[in-house]
Amino acid sequence: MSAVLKSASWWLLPSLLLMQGCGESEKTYTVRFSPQVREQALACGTSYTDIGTSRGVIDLVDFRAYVRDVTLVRANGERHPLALDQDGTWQRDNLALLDFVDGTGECVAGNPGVRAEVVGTAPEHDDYTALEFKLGLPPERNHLNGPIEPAPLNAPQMWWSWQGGFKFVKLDVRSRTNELFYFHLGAAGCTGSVAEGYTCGADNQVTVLLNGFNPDTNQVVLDIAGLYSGVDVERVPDGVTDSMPGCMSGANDPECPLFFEHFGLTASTSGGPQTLPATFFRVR
Amino acid sequence: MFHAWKVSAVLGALLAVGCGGKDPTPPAASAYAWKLPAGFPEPVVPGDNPMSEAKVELGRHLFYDIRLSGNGTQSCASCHEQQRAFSDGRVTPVGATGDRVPRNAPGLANVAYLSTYTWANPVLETLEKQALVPLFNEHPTELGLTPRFEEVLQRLRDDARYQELFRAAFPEEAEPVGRDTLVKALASFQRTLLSGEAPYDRYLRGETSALSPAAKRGMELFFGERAECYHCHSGPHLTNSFRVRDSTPEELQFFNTGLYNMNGNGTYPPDNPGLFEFTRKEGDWGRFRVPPLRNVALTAPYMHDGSIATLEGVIDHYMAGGRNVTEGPFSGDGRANPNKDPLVRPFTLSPDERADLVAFLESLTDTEFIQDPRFSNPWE
Ligand code: HEC
Ligand code: HEC
Repeated sequence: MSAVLKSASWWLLPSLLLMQGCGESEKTYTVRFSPQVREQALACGTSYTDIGTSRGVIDLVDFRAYVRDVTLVRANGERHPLALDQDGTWQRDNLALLDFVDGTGECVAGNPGVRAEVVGTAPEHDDYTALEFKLGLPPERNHLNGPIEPAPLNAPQMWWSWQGGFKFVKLDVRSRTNELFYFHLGAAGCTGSVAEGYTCGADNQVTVLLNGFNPDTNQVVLDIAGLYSGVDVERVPDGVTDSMPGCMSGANDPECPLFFEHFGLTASTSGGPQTLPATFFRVR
Repeated sequence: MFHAWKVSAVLGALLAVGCGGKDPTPPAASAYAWKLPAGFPEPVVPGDNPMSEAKVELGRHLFYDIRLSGNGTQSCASCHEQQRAFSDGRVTPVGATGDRVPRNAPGLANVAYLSTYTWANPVLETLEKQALVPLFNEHPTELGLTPRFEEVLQRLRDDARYQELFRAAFPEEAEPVGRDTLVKALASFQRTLLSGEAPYDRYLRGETSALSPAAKRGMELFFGERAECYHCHSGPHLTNSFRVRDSTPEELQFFNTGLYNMNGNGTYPPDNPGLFEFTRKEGDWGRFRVPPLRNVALTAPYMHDGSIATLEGVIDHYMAGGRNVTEGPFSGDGRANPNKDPLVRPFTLSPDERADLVAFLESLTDTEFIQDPRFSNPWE
């Protein structure tokens, strides 16, 4: 039905308008994401001050994320997953890649193609009041098992061959003391094989629910000042209790819990969903 | 008691011969001529990457090509040199962009037979998957392809020799230069790195004079109940990480040999947690895969972090039942590591016996392997 409507919408338009009242008509919604440092837009080639516990200065190096199951929620609780545009580049099935780096400044791994939105269709309603989405790939799809998968899974920055999967969120910045200060969220502590399947110590599945979200007027803020609020971006790892600047979802990394709390995750356990603080994700 | 080693060594040898001898491969699989050393069974090969001469040749070119790094400074061979049985002689290597790699670069002799790859990762079960790590990893960066992947592919596409090599290796691919073909070719080449002409091999094949008297005495120690080495360093390549074509997978085993014990609770330095990194079980701190010992005299320094310089030092470590690190940030008595395997416990060897054990380990050196032109740099 919806496919027919879409392809035929140019001549069906008048009748669609009539049908609106019955909730039958589909509309293209764009869910916009806004990477920020507090109220300021986050971009390559700019330094940002007052970050984290040491009030450090950072430059963006890389920032990408996978989101999936992007769902609009009506005031009455009715949920409508976006049917994503299958654009061959950023979106496939229910999965979308966000890419906030354009290759300028310190963002050496970026290229001019940036993507800060998820586009898809859902029944048209004027009372969408919440947004829900998940981060990364579900366990059953998160394994680099064989041939390269089509876009958006073909981004080498997001391959995590050491853990046999993909990164869900990759945010790398430069600070005055750390050439790279990492945050990589992904399923970690994985064992298994292609034949027997995998189990991961921490699947690190995150579901984000944002209330007060109107897709026509609001955006999803990703505030990295909030994300870094508990960590010291200038802390150089001592190699004794900590081996890397930042966190790569490791169980014994002292910085991981400080990042994970913004996703409602605990670093050492299986990563079940928890309530999210409005530090990293919020509505604008 | 004294015959135990003989039985197990000879059995191991017979088994190895048996696998290769009595299991004729179906025609499709045998299309590739392995040139296996005598007694070597056929290695496992993933179904989607059958062996071919053309892939091996392409893989060899890639293995030695510094263009296969983001900044054009390193190749696989930078850390895996043939004359060192494909290790690098360094405690730990430095990647193309200057990153320190926390673990020692192992040799690659007979890698085709290992059940899992690298010192403690249980997920890397094929050479194809392993190759993705040095190519694309970013912490630490080894070859650093991630930020410049398209550029690297273009470099290869622009080279006339590669156009031919890729087309011959992957004739059915419309665009043969890509991630999958790279790792498939690299894996195919590495499966040919077979080392089976050491004095120990000749001895197992019945040439009793191939081992010196010292090496024979050392072998008895290695397979004996005092040193107990063979419990973990078992099988034809002296590791329990071993599989062949058609073998049923065995449970993976990783061991803690008592190198560290940072807080008295079993912890190792944070960039080398061992199996714990993957299972997150406290009891898996410091557990590593048993490394194969072929050509071990050529692959110094030793252990996952290159922290023991010589074979004598390794034997002293085992004789002490572990290592007591008395100073520095990683201090702690490894001998008392709660995760240490019970077989790593103090024992005594006379100086002569210690030298005999070294002589045995040296008898695993295959000089033909490190001179074999099939494994050498094709660009020279
Ligand atoms: C910067 C040095 C460096 C480079 C370059 C490098 N390696 Fe390695 N290699 C290592 C280190 C270190 C390890 C051990 C890693 C670990 O255990 O975590 C290793 C492990 C391996 C192993 C596993 C061996 C075993 O016993 O399990 C294979 C196979 C391998 N490398 C192949 C390659 C290939 C193929 C390339 C080129 C694509 C390559 N390496 C490039 C340093 C390097
Ligand atoms: C409990 C199992 C076990 C026993 C018993 C054992 N090993 Fe090992 N061996 C290992 C493991 C595991 C490693 C790697 C440890 C690490 O790096 O943390 C290793 C490493 C080595 C290495 C270093 C290899 C390299 O490439 O760096 C040598 C040599 C060695 N063992 C020889 C011996 C000898 C000789 C004996 C007998 C005296 C022995 N092993 C007994 C499990 C064992």
